[in-house]
Amino acid sequence: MPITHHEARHLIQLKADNTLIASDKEILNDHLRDCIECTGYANEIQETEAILRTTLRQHWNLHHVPLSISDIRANNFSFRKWLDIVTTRSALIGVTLLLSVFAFVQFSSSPTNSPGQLAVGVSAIPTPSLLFTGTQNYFGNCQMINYPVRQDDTLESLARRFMVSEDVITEINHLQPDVARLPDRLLLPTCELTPTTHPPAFTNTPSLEAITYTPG
Amino acid sequence: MDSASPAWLLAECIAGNEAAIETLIRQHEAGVFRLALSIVGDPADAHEITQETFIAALRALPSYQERKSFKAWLYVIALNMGRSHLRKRKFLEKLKAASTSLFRLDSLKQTSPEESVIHNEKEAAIWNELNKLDERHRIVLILRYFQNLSIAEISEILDIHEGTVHSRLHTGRERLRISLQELHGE
Repeated sequence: MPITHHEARHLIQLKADNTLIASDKEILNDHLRDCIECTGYANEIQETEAILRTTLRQHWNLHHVPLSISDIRANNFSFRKWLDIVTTRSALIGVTLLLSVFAFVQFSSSPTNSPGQLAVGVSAIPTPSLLFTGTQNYFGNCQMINYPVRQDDTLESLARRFMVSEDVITEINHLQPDVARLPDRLLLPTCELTPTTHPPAFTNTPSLEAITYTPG
Repeated sequence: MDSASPAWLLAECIAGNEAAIETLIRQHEAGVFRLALSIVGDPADAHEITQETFIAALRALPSYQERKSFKAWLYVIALNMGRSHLRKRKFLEKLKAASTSLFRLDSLKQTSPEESVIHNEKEAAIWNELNKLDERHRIVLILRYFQNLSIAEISEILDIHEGTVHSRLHTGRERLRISLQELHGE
């Protein structure tokens, strides 16, 4: 029965796999007798197989050292597996530590940061301390007005008007705490009157509890 | 069940008979070593994988079912061990590459053992083409031409149909044949 070249090549491949049945073998041989092209293909496949076998043997046919039976018998596999996991995890932890050290070195060598200061979380906007530590510090950037004191002004009324505490006015103007009469002029901070520039209001600072805006 | 490892031998191994265990290991260690070597390429690693394969096999022996031949079952374990080893090695290589670039160290160029082995250009062409193949096609060629396994055995080990084994072998051989023809054409 005549077969096509394509079918012949398929049979050549099956022959290479040792799965060619006897009847197909005869059909193939009949075809190969008359077909130079397919004979050439069969030879090429045979050559490929031979070289592949030699190449693989050359590369990998190393003699192994016989296994130690006692090692295999005594080997606690779960311990080995555990060891395996530990070594893999150790590698991960090592890299993490390495990166942490690298990051620390990078940050600590930066000239803008003082040693020990954590660079992370530094705000671009200066935030005043929540604790009221001094008038000058707090109102240092605050515009002051030189206010001419009127006859009916009191420390309390000025404090309410300028929305600052009496203590602040006392401290800025170096007044005695129990002053009986106000001087002719007083320096008064205007921060609380210009809400767009003033620092955030502190409601948790006992000394500034008086500075709360009361409408009207 | 294959004739090399009959049921009674496996039963003795499960019972802890040292002589039986040694017989079983000696029967298969060369094949397992070659398979491991063809996967990982390094004799020391292959030796380790061979040992781990037998440790795992002896532990799992009570659960072995005779649906597969013992050899096929053992080779599946060796294949999985080899693949796992490769994954680990790739991970470590990536780690090494990352640390090298981090510290800007130049790694020393190592001469591949293959470079010193290959003299024949036809063998070189086949070897290069084999390494270009994806794992599915490469492994069937290795099992067929290095382990001398039958199509049925390869089908058992890889858990694929015999038709698929044929098809992959066909494709692999064709690729290798063409690489040889290209060499002749130069």
